[in-house]
Amino acid sequence: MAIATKVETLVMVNRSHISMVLVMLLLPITSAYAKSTGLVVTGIGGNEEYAEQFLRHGDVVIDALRTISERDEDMVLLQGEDATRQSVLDSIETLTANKPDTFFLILIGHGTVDAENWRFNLPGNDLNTEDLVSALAPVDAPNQLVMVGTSASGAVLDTLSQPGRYVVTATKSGGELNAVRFPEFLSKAMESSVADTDRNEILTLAEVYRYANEKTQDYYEDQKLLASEHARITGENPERIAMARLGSLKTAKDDPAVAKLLDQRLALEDEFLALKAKKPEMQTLDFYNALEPLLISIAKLQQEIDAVTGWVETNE
Amino acid sequence: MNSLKRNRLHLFAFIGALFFVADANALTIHYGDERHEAFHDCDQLSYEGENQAAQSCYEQLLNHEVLLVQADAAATLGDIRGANKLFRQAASDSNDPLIKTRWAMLYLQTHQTSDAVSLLREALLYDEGYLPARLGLVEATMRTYEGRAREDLYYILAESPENMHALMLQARIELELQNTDVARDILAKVRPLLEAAGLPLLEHHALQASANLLEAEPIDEWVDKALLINPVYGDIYATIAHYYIITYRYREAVDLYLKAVKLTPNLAQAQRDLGINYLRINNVFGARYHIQKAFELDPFDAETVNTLRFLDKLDNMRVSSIDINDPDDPRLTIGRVIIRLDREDADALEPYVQDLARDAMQVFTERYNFRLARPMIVELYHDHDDFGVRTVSTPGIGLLGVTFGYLTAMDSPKARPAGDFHWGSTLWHEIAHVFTLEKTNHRLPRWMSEGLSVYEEWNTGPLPDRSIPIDTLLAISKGELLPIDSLDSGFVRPTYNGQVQVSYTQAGLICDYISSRWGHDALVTMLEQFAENASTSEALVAAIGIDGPSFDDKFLDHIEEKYGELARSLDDYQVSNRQMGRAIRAEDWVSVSVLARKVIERDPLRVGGGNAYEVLARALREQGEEDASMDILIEWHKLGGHGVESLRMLVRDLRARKRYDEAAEVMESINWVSPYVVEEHRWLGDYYLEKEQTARAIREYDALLGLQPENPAEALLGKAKASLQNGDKETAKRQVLYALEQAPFFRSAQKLLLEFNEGERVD
Repeated sequence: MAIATKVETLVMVNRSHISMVLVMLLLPITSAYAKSTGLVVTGIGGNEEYAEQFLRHGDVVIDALRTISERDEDMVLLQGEDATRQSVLDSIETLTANKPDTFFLILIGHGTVDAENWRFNLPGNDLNTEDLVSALAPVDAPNQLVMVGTSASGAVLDTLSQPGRYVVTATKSGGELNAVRFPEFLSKAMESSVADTDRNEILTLAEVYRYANEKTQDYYEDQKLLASEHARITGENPERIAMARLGSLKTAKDDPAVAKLLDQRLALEDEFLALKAKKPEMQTLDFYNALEPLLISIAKLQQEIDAVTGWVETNE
Repeated sequence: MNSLKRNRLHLFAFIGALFFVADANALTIHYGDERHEAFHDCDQLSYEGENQAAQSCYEQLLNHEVLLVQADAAATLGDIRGANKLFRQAASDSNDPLIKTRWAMLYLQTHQTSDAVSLLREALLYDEGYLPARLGLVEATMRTYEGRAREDLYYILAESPENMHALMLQARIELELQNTDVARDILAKVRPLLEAAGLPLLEHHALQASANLLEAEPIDEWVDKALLINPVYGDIYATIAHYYIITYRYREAVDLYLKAVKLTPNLAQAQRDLGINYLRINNVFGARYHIQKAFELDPFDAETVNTLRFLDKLDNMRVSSIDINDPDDPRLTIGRVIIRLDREDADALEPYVQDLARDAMQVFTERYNFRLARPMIVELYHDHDDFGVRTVSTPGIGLLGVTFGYLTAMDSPKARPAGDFHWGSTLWHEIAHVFTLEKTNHRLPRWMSEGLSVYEEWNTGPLPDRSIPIDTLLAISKGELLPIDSLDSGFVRPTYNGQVQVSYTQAGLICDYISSRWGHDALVTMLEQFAENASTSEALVAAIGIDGPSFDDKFLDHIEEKYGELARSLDDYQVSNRQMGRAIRAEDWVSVSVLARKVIERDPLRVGGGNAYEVLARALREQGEEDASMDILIEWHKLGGHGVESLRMLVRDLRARKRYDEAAEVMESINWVSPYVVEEHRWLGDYYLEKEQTARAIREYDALLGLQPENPAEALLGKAKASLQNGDKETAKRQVLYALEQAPFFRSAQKLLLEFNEGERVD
């Protein structure tokens, strides 16, 4: 719990220290290569503008998630009239029945809150906190991400948080009731490499959250508005959760030759992370002397991967 | 444990114990006849420096039959809590204004000026003409340097021309205004009165010595006379030192304060002022020692406590230095700049501070034909209250920057809302002070010091904005500009709201006028005259052949010619502005355009807040005339317009039209107003890299890295490429490794690393 709190604080408050935390924890990203399923739901827009936005964000997010699933059908998008309370509950049950390694639930739309409950606005009956708690209780995927990109979503943060589950909300509490910008920057993070700060072509939850959160804050600052939303995240080591593959990894998803090279790359990446973790104990010169050949190996291997996948510089 | 924590403990200990400030205050001479006769002998002992005997004498008065005498005795002995209790007892069921007045003095003694003022006003409710209370109010007002004190004294002395207390206060004020002749006349008048009353001439001699100091005459004669009366009268030095401070001679002030505390170590205020002035000449160690002493003697003094707290913060600031080369012969060094920045700000600001300090030192060394003899210290504070404490030991001041000789301190852009002030222009202004103060050994009048800094802002600084503030135009229209010989009073004792700002602009206009009519060298000649203790008129005669009054005539003619019509038509001007505002609210953009053009025509140099250029640009944009809108913003920017939003819009427009060189120029301006935007540093870094302006590219990447961007690898790679352009392969390779350490799969950096590895990169 202490570490979770530390990570959460660092992610939310101090953008500059996150990379240090990522390295020090030294946890390889395994989820990118494990079985993942997910459900993306966009709610009622209320007007044409929001309806269009929600649909667009939903499309972007599901496309990104499908880059990490074995089959496209493992990542389900519910939108418009199909996105009912019952279909959401049924989909959660279906997608988690085979115990995936990672399960994603991403809700985008309007949320409301009354004295007792948070509600996600859907056609027909709304989905509420209790529905989510009940639907997620039997899910035994070791890694779960529940991202609630709606107004007032902070109301569910504590209720849904539990070990093994990452919870992201667009607001810090149920009191932030205005429509949120967070999903817009979430979708921006997931549709390109802008948020992939370590350029490893694997977009992690930490990278996505950091990008979306910072851009949301920047938006309010640029517009000289008082920020009416403050995103929150809970869960240990969000850098372990891959949310999308980019660039060569995305295009080479099904190529066994590339997969072999990627395995080698993963090994080198682990070596790199291990070396960085040792940096505080090493002499500076020794560290960079050890780092240089490793980086050269990574660069050479990357050239091989790029040659196979046809990656071109403009992708960067 | 740091000193703040230590002192906090001390502070609480004091609060919990009896409030004793033992003998820590300056010697008070009781000029009024309201002091009870029981004090006469004790006071005499005190005046003569027989402190032990005086203390015993006062202690006996603690048992006096009159409660007010007991209270005053307790206050004199430094038993603050006891005195407060006795005053409260004495004041209950009493309408005697004397009790409230003496009680108020206790509050003044413990630096609680507003409470003192309340009590004095209560005293005046009992007797509206009660002189001791009125004089108490003057003393309280003097602590805030308000011009009202002088006016109030004028009325008091009109009624009571021989009031010794009022005359002494008036002499002090006139000395602060450097009216030494007037002050000496007052002192000559008060001396026989003091002698007749059997009062000591201690303060009289101190003020005479101060007048000597201001006239660059020896002070020893008066000091010796005072010490003959009271051999432990440390106040003599502290009093004189004050006049060094108001003439910016901090090093000399420190020497006098050292003598003061050597003679009378218990003088809390002298210990405090010694500490504060040590800080001003960058002797942090000495400052800490004496501020600590002051705190031990008087824990109630907010200036002492604030400064102690500040000293702890100072320890955590980042210090760097650069040597500045002679632009004509880069092998020669013309000076050194030490830069002290808050760690949070340091990476982002340091490259800019270095650049500006370098330019300023090179420009001013040449323009003033003067090379700094010591390193110049530049400090920027991201917390405005820290800056306030640094400069005047009080948070909440309204200044942007202050210069103490070789040390200049100012707000960093983070201390104020984004875009609130042009920090480059402020720093330029302050560095100009360093040169003009040091060239004259701090002997130039305030108006000349400020005037030259404003003049340099306008003529050589990074911001060409020459807008004349409305307050100054109003002063011109009302004939309120001060004669040059008394312009300092507009800074030191302003008599109306906004007069300080008006005086700044007037001083700048004077310097600008002298330079344009007689050449910049005339200003340099004046500085040289001031260094030799010339008066303003004498300096003018030497530089341009006319004295102050003659100069005033010519200057006012010049002002009339340049601004007379605008100043007289301010009402119409403001009506046009209001009409423009209404048209904006009605979104009637055609009318807005017409009105804005009218306003610009009338006052084309007004480019600051509320200017018509930005309004016109918006109106044109709303009408679909985007090119015309952009052209207006370009014109506005060239005149010194620096509103961040409009500058950003201008950059967008220029970039959209691929006018990158102009866009870069505008972006540079943005960084002098709002330097904390990642995108601007990134774009400028890449732009300069492409133009092979490597020093600027590296500056931008350094500033970008200082902002801790989400993706530092790009900036590090930019630095690597810039280093390669410089032919510095070693640094380039190191930067590439840093970039890949952040982002190991960053293809561009990988490519460069492989080139290094394979020896392909030979440049």
